[in-house]
Amino acid sequence: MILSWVIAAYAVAGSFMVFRYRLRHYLRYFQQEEYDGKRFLLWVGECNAFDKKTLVVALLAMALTSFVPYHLVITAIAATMLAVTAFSGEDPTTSGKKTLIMTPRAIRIYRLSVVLYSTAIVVGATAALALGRHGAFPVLWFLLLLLSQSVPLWLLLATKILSPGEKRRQRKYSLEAKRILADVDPYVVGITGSYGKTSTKHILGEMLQTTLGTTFWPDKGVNTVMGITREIREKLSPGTEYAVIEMGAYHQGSIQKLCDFTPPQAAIITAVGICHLERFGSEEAIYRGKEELAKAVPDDGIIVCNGDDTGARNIAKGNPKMTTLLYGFDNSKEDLDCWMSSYAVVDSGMTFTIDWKGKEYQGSAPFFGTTALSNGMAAFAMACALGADAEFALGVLCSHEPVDNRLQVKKSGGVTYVNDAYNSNPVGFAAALDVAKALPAKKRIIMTPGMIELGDRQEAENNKAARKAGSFCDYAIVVGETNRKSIAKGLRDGGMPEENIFLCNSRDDAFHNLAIVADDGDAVLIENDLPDLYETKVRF
Amino acid sequence: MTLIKPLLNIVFNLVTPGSLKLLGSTLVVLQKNKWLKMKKKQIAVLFGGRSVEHEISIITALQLIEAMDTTRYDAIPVYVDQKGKWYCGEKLYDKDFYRTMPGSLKDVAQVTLMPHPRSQGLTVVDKKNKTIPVDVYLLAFHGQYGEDGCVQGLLELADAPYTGCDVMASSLAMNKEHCKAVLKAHDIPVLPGIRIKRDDAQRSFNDVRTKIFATKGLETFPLFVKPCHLGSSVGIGKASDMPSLNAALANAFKYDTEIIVEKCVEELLEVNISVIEGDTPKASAVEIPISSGDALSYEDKYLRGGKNKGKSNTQGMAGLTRDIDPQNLDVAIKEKIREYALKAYDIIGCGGVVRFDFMVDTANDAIYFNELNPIPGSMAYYLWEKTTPRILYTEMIDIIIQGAERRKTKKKGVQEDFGFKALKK
Repeated sequence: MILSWVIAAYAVAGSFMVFRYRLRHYLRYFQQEEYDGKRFLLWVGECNAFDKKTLVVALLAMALTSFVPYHLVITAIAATMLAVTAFSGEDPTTSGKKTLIMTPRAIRIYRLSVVLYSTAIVVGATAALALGRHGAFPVLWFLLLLLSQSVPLWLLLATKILSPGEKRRQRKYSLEAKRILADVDPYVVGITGSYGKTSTKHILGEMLQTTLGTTFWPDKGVNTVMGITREIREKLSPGTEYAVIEMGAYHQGSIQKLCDFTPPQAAIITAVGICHLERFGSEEAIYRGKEELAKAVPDDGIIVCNGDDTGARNIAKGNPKMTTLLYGFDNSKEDLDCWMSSYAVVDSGMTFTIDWKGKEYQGSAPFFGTTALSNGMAAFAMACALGADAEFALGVLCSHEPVDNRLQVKKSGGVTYVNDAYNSNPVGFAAALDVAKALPAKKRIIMTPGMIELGDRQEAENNKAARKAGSFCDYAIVVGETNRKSIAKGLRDGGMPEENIFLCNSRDDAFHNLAIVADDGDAVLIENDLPDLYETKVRF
Repeated sequence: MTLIKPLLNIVFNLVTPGSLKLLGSTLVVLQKNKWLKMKKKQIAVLFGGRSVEHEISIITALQLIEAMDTTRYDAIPVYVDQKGKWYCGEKLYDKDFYRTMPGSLKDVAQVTLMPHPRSQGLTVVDKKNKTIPVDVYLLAFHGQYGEDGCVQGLLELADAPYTGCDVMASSLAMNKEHCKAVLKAHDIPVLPGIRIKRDDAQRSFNDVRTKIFATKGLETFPLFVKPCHLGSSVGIGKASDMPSLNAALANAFKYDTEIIVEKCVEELLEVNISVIEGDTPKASAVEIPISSGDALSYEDKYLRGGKNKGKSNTQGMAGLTRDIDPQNLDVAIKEKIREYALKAYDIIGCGGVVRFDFMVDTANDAIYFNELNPIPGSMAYYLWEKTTPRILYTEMIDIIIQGAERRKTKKKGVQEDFGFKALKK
């Protein structure tokens, strides 16, 4: 009897070791999903991130202990096998593309999950053994089997339990950030738009920092209250004169919340598109969501809006400030304050002429695409409105290195890659196609899974973009099934022969095909790659 | 019972302050001598730091540690991360450590150097505050905060021997404009140039450009723009017309608050040379860094490898293609460069091993001092291996460590403590 308890305890310990190991792995992905339970579960489902090893071991152990007499020996062997897998794996804090960072929050979640799981497993195992009598071990293994697959649930439960405290902590931090911001008191420029806001933020940040004075701008695509809070607490130093804040809109009121947090004196609205249409519900709601930023700017402030975009233009007209500026390419209405009278794609980037307040400025920049130029104009107009020297500001634009994965052109082994891997949208897609069309190439190949999150417009927009691609690309590699039909149809309608369209299920498969098709001298457009999280294969 | 008492008495008699002291000092001696073996010097190799050349510094340090004479020295790698925190630990030898940061930082101990003369070494930052004894600090930083006198200042405060240039020489070397001015005053030729402050450009961009063109030697394009304090090729650019000048100025100001604009020599040959300390300083063979087989142009020198220099090239400076002691270079030019380098080493007051970069205008064989690297990439060992008489990397490290100790000893001969005279009257 005592031996049974000892062996059972050994099995429990073995599976506990596996649990700890798995927990850290799941925590890595959970962290990448910003502790968002829904998205995390979606990921678990999508990537089939179940613990297959433990499943097999536990199933076998369950079956054998039920039918074979040596249940203690079997249990001991199975438990040892589990323990070995737990110790032979890699450490998620030092391995993988994006490592797990044990922040205080991650540690709290981890610890509570361990406590919860330990309680469950000890109570469960004791009950199984005490009640199960002869059939105790199969029941125990069944329990261990269930628990081995429950790791994500413990993470979610722990997060849920910790969430009131977390919210309190977040509130404390954001209040602190708000106080720091009030103390430093920089001139705040808010940027929103369905696309282009991150790039615009980086260009404007660089521009103000170089031409006007010390400027603060949050890193990468940080555009939420929590993200900005962290950036302010870590990086906003006294004496900073300007702050450029990107404001993300995921539903109505989210910009308002950000404007209350970092009240803007000036604003840029790059576009009112149909991004996140599903979350907003309607185009009207998106418009109102973006307009919140213009409304938050005081009357003596500055707003700079994209004149090529109907929504952004309407916001400018509906919310005039002391300085209201429109920028864009299409000056047929002759009301643009800053517009690009000409531009061209060259090997090293783009050359262009900006017309600002009736004066022409020539420039050449190391980036590609009309969207980048449009963002550049937004930043240029804002910097000039704030008092920067136009030629100095233009100099910054002309030496601006684009942010990773946003329409970059790179040569690798004779093939030119137009990489527009980040978060595709209809305007960005079209701009990338223009670049791919303008670059010299023997053959042109497009590889894309299409655009997502566009609601009932998704099919039409993908079809439209594909038709354009089909009109000049020679080959297409369509990744995944989501937009397969609409893209393939668009490509055919555009004039691409059926046999030149490759339909691939996975990213690996797509790259394999690409390697076959692409030769020296070809241009490849990679449009909307999948994010990192979904890129790496998960092995459990 | 009767036996225990006398036994206890004997034990008590043995445990006297004298015997304890003897036992203690024996242990100390044994430990210090590592059980009677020759004591090895503890060399803290400092690298990384808050600099754009962070990665290159890691490469220099790892190469250097590999080349150190292990029979005489124990290397203690001390990594300064990009946020400026200092770390110590075995894992720092491994290149993978740096690829897996910040996760891997948990495997090493955070340390610091206390800024007072009794610090005796590095202090581990934890509850116990244990000290790691260090004999000499070997600096393998490149760029800001490590090569410009900042760390050197801290080491001076801690009264610790360190390799290479002192505070003054380091900071002078890392300010391109001041370094040029000092050498020019001592008749070493430099290219005409001007220093521009970002504040001035922000006040009036136009005035700044007017000022540039009003400078003697800078009246016409092409011009070259570079950040004033950075040692690497970051932020530099050639200007051949007004728009490219605007872009070059703007770009340089992204990296530095002060920049310099120089005349751009079009038919340029770059020639580098290293100088090492000793009873009398010695100059190495000269080298012409080569790009794709041709003699180097101004842009090639700086723009080759571009921003990926440190990433793709794990050999650092030693990995570049170069022509050492080029036979087709005029002997008179080589001689002149040696002379200038030794003279400049003395004027600036350098220590350890440094590298001077000169420019030769091939149109008229004019030589110009370009810049001084107080801590050259890969310690310029590749130059010394080709110099006659040859100095191998291991030997070179010996020389600079001994130099650090010698300088410290010499400094000790200077009276520092003047006592209280005014307040304790």
